Amino acid sequence: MSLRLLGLLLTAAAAGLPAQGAVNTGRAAGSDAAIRIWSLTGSLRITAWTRDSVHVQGRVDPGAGRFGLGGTREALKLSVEPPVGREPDGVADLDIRVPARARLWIKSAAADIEVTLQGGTVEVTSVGGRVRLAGQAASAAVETLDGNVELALEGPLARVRTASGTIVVRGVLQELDAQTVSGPLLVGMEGSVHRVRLETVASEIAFKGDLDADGHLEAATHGGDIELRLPPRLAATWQLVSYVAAPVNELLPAALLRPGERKGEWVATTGDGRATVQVRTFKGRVVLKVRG
Amino acid sequence: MNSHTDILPLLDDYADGALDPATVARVDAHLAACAACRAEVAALAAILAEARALPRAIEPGRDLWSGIAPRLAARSARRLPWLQLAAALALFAGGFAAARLGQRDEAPTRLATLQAEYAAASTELSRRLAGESTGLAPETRRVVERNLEIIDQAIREAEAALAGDPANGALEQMLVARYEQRLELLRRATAAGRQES
Repeated sequence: MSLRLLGLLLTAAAAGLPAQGAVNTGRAAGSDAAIRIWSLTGSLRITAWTRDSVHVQGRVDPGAGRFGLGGTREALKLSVEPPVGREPDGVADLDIRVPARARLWIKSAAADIEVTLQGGTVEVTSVGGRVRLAGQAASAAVETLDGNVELALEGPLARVRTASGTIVVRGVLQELDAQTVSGPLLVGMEGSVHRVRLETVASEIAFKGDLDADGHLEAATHGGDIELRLPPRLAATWQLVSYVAAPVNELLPAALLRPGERKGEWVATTGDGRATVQVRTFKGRVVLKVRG
Repeated sequence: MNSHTDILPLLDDYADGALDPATVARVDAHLAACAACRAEVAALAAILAEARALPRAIEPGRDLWSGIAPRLAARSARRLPWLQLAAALALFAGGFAAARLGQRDEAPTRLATLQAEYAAASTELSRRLAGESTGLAPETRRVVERNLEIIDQAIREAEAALAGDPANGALEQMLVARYEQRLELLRRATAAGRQES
């Protein structure tokens, strides 16, 4: 063995970085186990299955960090941890199977994350990777700075925060709270939604869907347009605010839409007015269209 | 074989109590002489305890921030003096909520008070973010700075409009929303700095 190779091996050992490549491991877990997943780079594909176990298959570059899977049936930790104080030099690409109702807590910096759920919960915190959640979720929350987020979910509740990433949401949700600064926010809901809150600063908001009879839709931006595509017979109290132009109205009977008390405000009441629609844009336009 | 590299892969199972007695004895012998592995075991135990404490169902409050602030505060005991800041932000958010629900004729005074509190919280978060510059990747920092500038521009425009139309509640709501978004972005950027490092 050359001195150079010996030196490299000793360095790796001292840094706690055993040479790694393929990962193929698993362990038993409860059907609703709490699972913490931490991997900074690469990709995480997480899929709920009907077995009460966690299984991980994939590849971990030696420089990405040390792979670990530990814990009990009720609480597990899966991680690729670079040595303290060192940047990861490599990626980890992992395909992870988790129990159907697992409670997932995923933390990353730049990994692309794809989660397919079967009734569990998921909370994702990332910085720049793409995040995609699909399936049935008891609740879903995503926070990222620069990553694009796509939700294709059925469930009671979803929340998303980004800065410049694009947010795309579709599916059947009772409550949606989505916020971005400069990324577009595009929502297409099947069925009716109870509560929707959409907010950006400098980007467009587009919502297509329906509201419960007592539902609430709030869309607010500073510099973007807001386009709502809703059923023509939606019974709601409407408050629309834009400081640059009157609403482009292809949805409500023209006679019902009238200027409000404040500058830039337009109001209307349709049907019994139980649902509420509040739209505010400072520099953008409000566009109302019939849902196709 | 009780070398560091032999023992390291066993620590997860050791922390879980999943090893047989003979292996436990091997690990114990190594831990007696290895501070790094003792620290690793302690960290694993803490993480598993946190995971066990996770709720059966994750049901965040109306605003995600309200659910995150206490956890940031909890971490502060170990890493950063966040507790006071989280408390200040909670008061700040509560004040804004009160202002939104409060009487209109009280709004200008209350808004001015809240603007001062916002400025203080924003300055503190910005200072922390600058202090953690080594923890945030350059491209991420550029993203944060670009988006902060977008929000700041929106704040300037909303403040100017509100100055010309001080009784306009919708304008005030827009301004308050921008303050909240700026704080939220600073808070997330600061957290990302720790995440990337």
